[in-house]
Amino acid sequence: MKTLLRRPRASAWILAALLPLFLASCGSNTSQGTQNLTAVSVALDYTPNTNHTGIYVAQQKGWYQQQGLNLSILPYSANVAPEALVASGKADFAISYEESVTTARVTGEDLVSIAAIIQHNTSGLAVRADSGISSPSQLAGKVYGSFDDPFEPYVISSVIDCAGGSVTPADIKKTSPVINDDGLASLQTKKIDYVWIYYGWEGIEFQRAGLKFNYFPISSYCVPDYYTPVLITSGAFIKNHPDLVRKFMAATSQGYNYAIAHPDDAANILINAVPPGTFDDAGLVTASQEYLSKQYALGAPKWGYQTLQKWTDYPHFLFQTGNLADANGNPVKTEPDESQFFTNQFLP
Amino acid sequence: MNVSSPPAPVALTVEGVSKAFPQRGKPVLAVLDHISLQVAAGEFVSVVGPSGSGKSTLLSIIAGLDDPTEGSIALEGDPNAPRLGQIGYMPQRDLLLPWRNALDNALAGIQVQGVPRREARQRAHALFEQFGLADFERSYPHELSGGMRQRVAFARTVLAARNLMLLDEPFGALDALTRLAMQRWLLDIWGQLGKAAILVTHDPEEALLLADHVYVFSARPARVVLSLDVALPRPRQTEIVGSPVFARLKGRLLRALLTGQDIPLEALALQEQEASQEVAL
Amino acid sequence: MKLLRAVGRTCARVWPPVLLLALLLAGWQLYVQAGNIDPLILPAPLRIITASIASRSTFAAHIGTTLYETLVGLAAALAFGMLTATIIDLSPFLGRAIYPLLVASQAIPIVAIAPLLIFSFGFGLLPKVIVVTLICFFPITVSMADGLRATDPELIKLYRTFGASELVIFWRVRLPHALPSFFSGLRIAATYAVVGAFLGEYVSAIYGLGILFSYEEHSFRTDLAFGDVIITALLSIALFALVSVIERIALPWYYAGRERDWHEAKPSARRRRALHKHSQGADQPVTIPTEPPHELSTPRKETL
Repeated sequence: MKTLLRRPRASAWILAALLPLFLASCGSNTSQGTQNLTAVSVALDYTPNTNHTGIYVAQQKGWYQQQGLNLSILPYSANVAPEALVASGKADFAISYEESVTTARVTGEDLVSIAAIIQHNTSGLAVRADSGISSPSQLAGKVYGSFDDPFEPYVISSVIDCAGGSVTPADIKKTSPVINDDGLASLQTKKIDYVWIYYGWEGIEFQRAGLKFNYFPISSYCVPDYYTPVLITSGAFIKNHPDLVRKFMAATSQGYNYAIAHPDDAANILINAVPPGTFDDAGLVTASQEYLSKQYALGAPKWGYQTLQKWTDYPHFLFQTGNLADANGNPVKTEPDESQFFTNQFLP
Repeated sequence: MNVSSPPAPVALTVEGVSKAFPQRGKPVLAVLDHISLQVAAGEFVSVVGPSGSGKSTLLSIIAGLDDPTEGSIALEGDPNAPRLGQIGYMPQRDLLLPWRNALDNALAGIQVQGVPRREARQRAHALFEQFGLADFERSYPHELSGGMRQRVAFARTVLAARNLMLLDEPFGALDALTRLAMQRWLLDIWGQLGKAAILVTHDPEEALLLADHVYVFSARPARVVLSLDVALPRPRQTEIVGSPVFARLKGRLLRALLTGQDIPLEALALQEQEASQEVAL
Repeated sequence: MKLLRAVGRTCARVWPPVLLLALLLAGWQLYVQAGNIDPLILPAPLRIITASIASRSTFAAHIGTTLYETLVGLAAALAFGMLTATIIDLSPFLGRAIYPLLVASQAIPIVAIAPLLIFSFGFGLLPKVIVVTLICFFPITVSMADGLRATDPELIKLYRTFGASELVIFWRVRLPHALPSFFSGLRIAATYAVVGAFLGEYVSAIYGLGILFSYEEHSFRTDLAFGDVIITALLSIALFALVSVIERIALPWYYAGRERDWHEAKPSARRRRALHKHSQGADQPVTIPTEPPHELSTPRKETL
């Protein structure tokens, strides 16, 4: 210490120069127990929620490791779409939605859906009960809290028109500020009139928060039922590593099947697997899981199974509204071949 | 200065040095005009002249910071000898490094010259003892008075000088009383230092008081107007400024400074005689 | 005795902002309570504090990551900043070439660059560290380059007479001369460092105060989100204070000279009053009235 003080100048400079090296070396310790496993990654579409339970369960139970995989669950980023990550090879797998896969594929991105996480569309529009709006037709002209996806205006205008209203996607776009993730707050403060939510998560969340709302399921209003969310990967990854895809799906299916059979346990695993502070309300996770576990494989021969019908109806709907745009932004002239959008070959 | 010993070796010879600065868009600025002077080993030489007469420029050239446009500089008889790092230079401001204590400041020069740290500290310590600064070795510049800082700077100059020191108005920034004290102090220790020095000043009294030899410069472009031996005894007391010998020397200095010519007292008496004769006629 | 005086001095300096802060918080609390404001929109300070204390283990789990990214990023910014400042000083040509690029690097909004960073550098701590480095290096570079440039030319001349090479002059004269300026820049950088880590995490992370803020948003816990921000701010302040302390230790000579001058130049109000009183008393003769003035009904003691 005395030398330091006597030559403060030299010491200060030397310290400053060496500090980065020291700190960097401190943090670069990687776990050595994963040497024989192949690293794969899955990118989340949102902050962890019960749509993702099967993955977390499989990871915690070591089923990925059993398959020889070292899975990293990549955190959600509001600025980077999981589809972009998969298309560019930065992530091997991702959580996505049928509509995103559709719009991405017509712009030329080679994404393939390998499993449907939930068999039916469990999302819908939510509006405050005290707003007096009892039918989507009354949503015309109201403010919609958007998450800035291109297909939102088309789907919503279809819902409203189906119920008797008369709006165009352009009308919707005009009154949709982007709220990103603040659905409950926006509704409660009445800044937004309606939002699009997953019943199994936000719906239950609203209930627990004491917010009374009216709910209009998307698939009840002229919009074909479709898969949301789905697990995707890129065509290139399938071509180069079909074995990895198979192994990933084997473990993931195991995870979701476990969640179907043991919702409470799965909920607990999810709660403990994520960083503290992710979930404010553990009860929400449990309640949501209880609802969702019944929905995962509802009506399907096995979890994750996808039909051509469900993969055609909705893209066809989007195509017919003239709202599928190619990479240059021009409307697509011919309907794409939807059979290329998905595959069940990797389901165990 | 010893008069009874064989001729002393020469510390510095300046031969016909001129210096002109080229200026953009203006005629060349001539600062020095064929300056010649000599400093013997251990001799104290003063250079006195009006402000702006290029005295500082001459010091810069001697120190090796700049080159003359014409003429040569010989250090100890060798015109090709490198001068940077050999000659001690003391500017008007003390320029002590605020992050070093007094002792470490004094050894700044010899440190650069490569003297090992322990030896450098020993030498500096010895000099501090000599200068009466031993108690202040560990003090920082902001804790010292102006006069003390100047003494530390002087120590630095003495240590950095092999045989020659250049003092550029070293006491100019001090108040009158401190300046007098410093002059007295310098007279006291001069004999022990054993180095040659050139002092630049615009105070003719200071020039005479401290030196063995005085050169008077004219205004720019400077030439040597007067080269005067100072025949005052050493060791010297400051009281000598009151003696008649001093007054005569000072008079000659002042005349040289003011008129740009050397007019000795005898010639002056002759001039006055002629002037009064003309009036009579 | 000296310690007591030091404590007293600190209290005297600290109480005005503390009082102001307390008043603001009280006003905030009253506003929320009186206006029945929804805690989702603007929680009251008390609620924020109690909720944050209840969640302290959660905060503790995340703060380490943010701290790590901040320190590593700051250290890298130090290295890079010092390097660029040195280049700018030693080679005017290179300096002219890179300076505008350095300035331009500050104009890029983090939100725009963050996705790029994630794409290039993945999801680990590296992109966050890069964000911090990007934000922090510039004040260090600029202040250190300015400090280097401002060295007294007379001093450089003096060192040349010692026979010093440019490199020696740089190491012994210019670098130490640039230290106070460098620390100014470092203080600024330290204040921004935590925010940089926060932003980087907010864009994408698993652990960290930034992504915790995102989790709290998604859980609609505005009070915890506020608490998160406050903790981030406190972290910034702590880092700033740390740099100031280091500066004090490294540059005792810089402050010693200045403090004396500061005190002499501007005495406190109390001292001024005392001086004024003293000078007044010295001018006038002291008279002790034998009877009270007419205006006063009760006598009072004259104090000198």
